[in-house]
Amino acid sequence: MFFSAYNEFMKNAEAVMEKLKILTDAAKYDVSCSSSGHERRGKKGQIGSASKAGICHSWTADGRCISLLKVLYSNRCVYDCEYCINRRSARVERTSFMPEELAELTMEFYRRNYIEGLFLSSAVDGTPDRTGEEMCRTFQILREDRGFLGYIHAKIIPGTSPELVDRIGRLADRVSVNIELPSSEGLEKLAPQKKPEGILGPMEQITQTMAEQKALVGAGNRFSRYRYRAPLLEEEGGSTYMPSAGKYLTDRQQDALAHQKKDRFAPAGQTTQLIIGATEDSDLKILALSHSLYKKFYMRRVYFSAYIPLNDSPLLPARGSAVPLLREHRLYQADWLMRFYGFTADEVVDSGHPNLDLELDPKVSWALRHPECFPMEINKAGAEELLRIPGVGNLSVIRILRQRKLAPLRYDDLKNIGMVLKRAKYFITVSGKYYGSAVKDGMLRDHLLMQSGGLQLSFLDPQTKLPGE
Amino acid sequence: MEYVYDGTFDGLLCCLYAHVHEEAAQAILPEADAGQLGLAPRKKVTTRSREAERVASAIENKISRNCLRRCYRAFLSGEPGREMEILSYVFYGFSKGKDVDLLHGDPIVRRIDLLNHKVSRETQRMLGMLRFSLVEGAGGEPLLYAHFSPDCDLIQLVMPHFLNRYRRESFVIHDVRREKAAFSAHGRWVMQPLPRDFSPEHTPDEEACRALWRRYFTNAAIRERVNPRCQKNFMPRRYWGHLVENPEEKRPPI
Repeated sequence: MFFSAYNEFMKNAEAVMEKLKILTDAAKYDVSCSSSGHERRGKKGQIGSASKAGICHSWTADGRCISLLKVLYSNRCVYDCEYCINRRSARVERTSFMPEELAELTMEFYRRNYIEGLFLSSAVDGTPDRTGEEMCRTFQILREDRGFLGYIHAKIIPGTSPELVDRIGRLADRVSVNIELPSSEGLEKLAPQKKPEGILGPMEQITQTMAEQKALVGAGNRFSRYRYRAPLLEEEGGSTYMPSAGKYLTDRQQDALAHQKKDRFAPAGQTTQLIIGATEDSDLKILALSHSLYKKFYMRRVYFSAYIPLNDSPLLPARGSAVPLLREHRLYQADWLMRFYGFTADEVVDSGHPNLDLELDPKVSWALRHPECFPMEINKAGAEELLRIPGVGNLSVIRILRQRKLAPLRYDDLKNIGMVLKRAKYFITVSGKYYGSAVKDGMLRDHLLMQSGGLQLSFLDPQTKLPGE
Repeated sequence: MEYVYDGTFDGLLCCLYAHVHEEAAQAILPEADAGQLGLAPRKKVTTRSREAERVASAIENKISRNCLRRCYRAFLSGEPGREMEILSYVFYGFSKGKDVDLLHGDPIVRRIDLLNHKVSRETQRMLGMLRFSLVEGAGGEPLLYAHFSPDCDLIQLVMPHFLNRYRRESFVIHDVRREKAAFSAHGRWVMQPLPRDFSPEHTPDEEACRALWRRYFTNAAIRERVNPRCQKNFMPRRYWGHLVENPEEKRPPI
């Protein structure tokens, strides 16, 4: 059907190879690669589908999954952000894809089941809008000409015009605007050409458009999520103000409008990314920011990227200094507590403890700081309380609740249920009986460290060399 | 009594039938493993679809449809000894009724949970790790061909996903270990035996596309974060032979 485009592409395979090399290297420091959040069935005559849980296709030598073809559209940049490998003053090879060849590459990878779809970001080649137009053109070719129904994650460049954000959002499954630096002072110091308004503007627009489509699902926990709530949009006498229509609409009119505009806007929601360790910001600051992003913008996810010192800059950690991988790992654990376990940022860290304990996971740390909540009775506690026990996850809670309908749990049942007893046993009673070995007051922390510390750390020990190097 | 069956799920259901109507089973073995010396007298069970259906509908009606589904999936896991575990589960289910699956703490139920988990996890992995190649089809039309050798017998579990995804392609998924393949065209598919050494001819452009993917794969790794143990955790070595990329590939110096 698209034989000529395909032949053209194959003729230029070598040139594409060169671009692919450069633009993969340029894109890989963005951590997001998930293809989750939206279920879409295939259609006759088209190719592709999307899976709610996402699908990983491979794992690179660093243990990160490849789900999407993650490349930059271009690495020619007019900005000069200190932390970025593509900044204007960096000496790297520069190139750009063409919309047709990138679409063709995506299609050929996709039909061979190498990838779930395309993750497209870009340096600022000229202006944000000019670059955005080219990216949008790529999505259009995929969706409209090639009948591509796979996953598209579009990165929005700060400062992109609202009209273009809207067009991109209707072609992509997920959109994201990267915050990168957790404070506006950091932004001013390290990325002076980016303005906070340029980042927050598109974010707000994305949330609002999704609110209009009644498609917002926020973080929370499995048992009570923060669902869509109207107050995000202005209300008056039973009508809601629709920024895109420019007028007040009743609930029914709103449904009709969403139905009529059948191309849903970013059905898999929006995400963002923060860089960890490039600035002095504490974990408290980072988690408080994430928490407010979840509450205010209904982000599906906030990604953390441990800063890898690749640039010589007096403003940043020196080249070759350690990458804060363990801190990143702990932040993700804390993030999980906020998204799936109903914790708030100030429970995980507080002004007394502004940084996460690197030795113990944040749930254990929280439990040790709150002895008044424990031990908890497995056969009585509610779902949200059970979720707070170290060593108990969502699946264990569901199983506990299910079995309790029929019979009380015995201690021996708990292992079969999948609980991590070596942690949990110090925090629970089962039908009134405590099974943890006697640990002296104040010694529990050391005790837990001794039995789990080694394992938790070794998972992350990075080797500084690539295999065979 | 030790029952020997033909290695199909229907055959296993017939063993359950014999367990009730003839003599209690002490062991159930597939034909392929029946060479080992047994302790009890042995009997070959003939697979009859009427008996299999009776057992299946008894499970559905007296326990639940989900229970039957869980038995089938546990069976696909290919774990040796799963036959007796399924038997215990089914008869425990007959005594407990539809609520049997709520008893997560029970070792019998837990075992079936684990077998089901094994099958779903590998199915999920295969959805991502199958690699299709464009090969010359019989009628001159190129078609997509993928080979794999999963631990569980799961072609039929991945088919719905690919039928839905490749609405305009014809494709073949070849289970090399079990010497069979699913052939699909126009939304329909059949399972046929296909020898282990079958390997169709690639189209002329296939190699170029593979090279692009290998390049992408190698370059996407971040040098400062390399962690082969973590990589192998997610993507065990036994699957590597069927990939296009080489997870251990050396990266050329910058």
